[in-house]
Amino acid sequence: MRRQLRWALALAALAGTVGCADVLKAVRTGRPEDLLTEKNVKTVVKTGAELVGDIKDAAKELTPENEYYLGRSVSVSILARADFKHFAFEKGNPRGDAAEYVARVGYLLAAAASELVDGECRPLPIGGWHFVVLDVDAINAYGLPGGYVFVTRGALKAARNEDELAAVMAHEVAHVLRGHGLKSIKKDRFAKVSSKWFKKGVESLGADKVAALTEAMSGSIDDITQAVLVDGYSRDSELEADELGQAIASRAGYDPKAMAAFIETMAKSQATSSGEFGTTHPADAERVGKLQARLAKYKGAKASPPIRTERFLAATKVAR
Amino acid sequence: MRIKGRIAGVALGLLLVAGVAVAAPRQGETLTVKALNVNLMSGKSLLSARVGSSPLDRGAHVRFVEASADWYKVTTSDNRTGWLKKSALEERNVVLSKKIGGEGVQVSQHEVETAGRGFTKEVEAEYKGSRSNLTPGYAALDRIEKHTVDPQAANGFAKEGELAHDESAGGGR
Repeated sequence: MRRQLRWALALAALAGTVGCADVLKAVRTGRPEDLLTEKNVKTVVKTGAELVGDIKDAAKELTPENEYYLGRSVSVSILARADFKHFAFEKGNPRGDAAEYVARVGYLLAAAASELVDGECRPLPIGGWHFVVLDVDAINAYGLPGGYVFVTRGALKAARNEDELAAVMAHEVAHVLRGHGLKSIKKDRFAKVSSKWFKKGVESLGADKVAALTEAMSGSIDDITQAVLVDGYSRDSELEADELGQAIASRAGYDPKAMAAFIETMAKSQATSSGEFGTTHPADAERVGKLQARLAKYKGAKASPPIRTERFLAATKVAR
Repeated sequence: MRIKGRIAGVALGLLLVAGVAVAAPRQGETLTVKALNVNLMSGKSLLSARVGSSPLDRGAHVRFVEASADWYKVTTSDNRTGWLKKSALEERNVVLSKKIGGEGVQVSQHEVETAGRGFTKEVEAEYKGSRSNLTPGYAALDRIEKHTVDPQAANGFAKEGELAHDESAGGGR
């Protein structure tokens, strides 16, 4: 039994679950017993038993592929509440031009964002970025796991130019990259699953484990949908998305002052914007103040040329 | 001594595992595209010209040429050479289907080995199965995912709007 445990610990060391310091000590002394600390034994027993409920931070377990599938289903839960087909990309659709216009602005922001990804960001979306207009009056936008960004018709109508629209969309791209949707998943959603079920392996999981994972995914979808449509992301997340979004929009060449301008516009409109799509982005002086305080970083930014406002007004005419 | 050697082997194994994790691929090594609809670019920017007329399929095999920051220069099986974001590649020669997680509910061993488990196509199918009201939403999303922006059109759009663009890539509305 003791010999088996020694082997188990040696294998665990190879797999990286036992501390490096203990391995080095055992090498130095030549005694495998030095690996038999209480902590190491517990670790091996735990990992061997596929401990259910051991996930402390869901975001850390999810691969880009997992995030893609979660983001798809959250997007569907949004699409079930708000129509997008009037802004579908199909040829011959008079509003398709507005959709293509938004997709191009989004592409430029995604290109800029890909150059700004740092260690605090999620991996880039494996399914690519998708920017979609929702046929909803309320002024809002949503950045969901997996790279799905929704902008409402109300936001197209409220923005005064391309730079303001780009600022809003860059803010949502930042939410995606910082994994804010994933952070809104409640901890107990993963109580019935094991971190081992998220690891790369050579076999599919059985039906009972797929059922437990489906329950965890269903709960996660509910939590993220609730956050984006009703509660909003946390205040810290909003401030973080303002900062990274400002950097992304500026990198793409847009006016770094545009987000503060849009927030002020939104503040005036929010009194009349209600319902589940309308109230999740706080419009306040602190956000505007922080955005303006960072403008010194963007001293070389050029003013927006008239062509950007002209093409914005032409493309979004159908939303007004 | 035997035990000491064995433990030293374990430590060496740990170091090798750590080393492999950070090393770039070798020149000529086969890598696999794991992202959907990824464009092979002529430069290290998503606004540079696309090499070839269409995006690469997930599962396409490419040969590694060189690395520069988080971009890899690669050559495709039909001899196109260009740049891909490192995050779009699985740094091994594996078999992947065009859709993430396989064509149907059945997931191949390679998919599981490469993409991992957890929230997968299989779990999505289970979730969808008991919610027929969401079927139109998934169909709409599938249509949304098929729409891609042409990089050259995007670059022309950026140039017209006096935004950051690639001067050499051209493009217009």
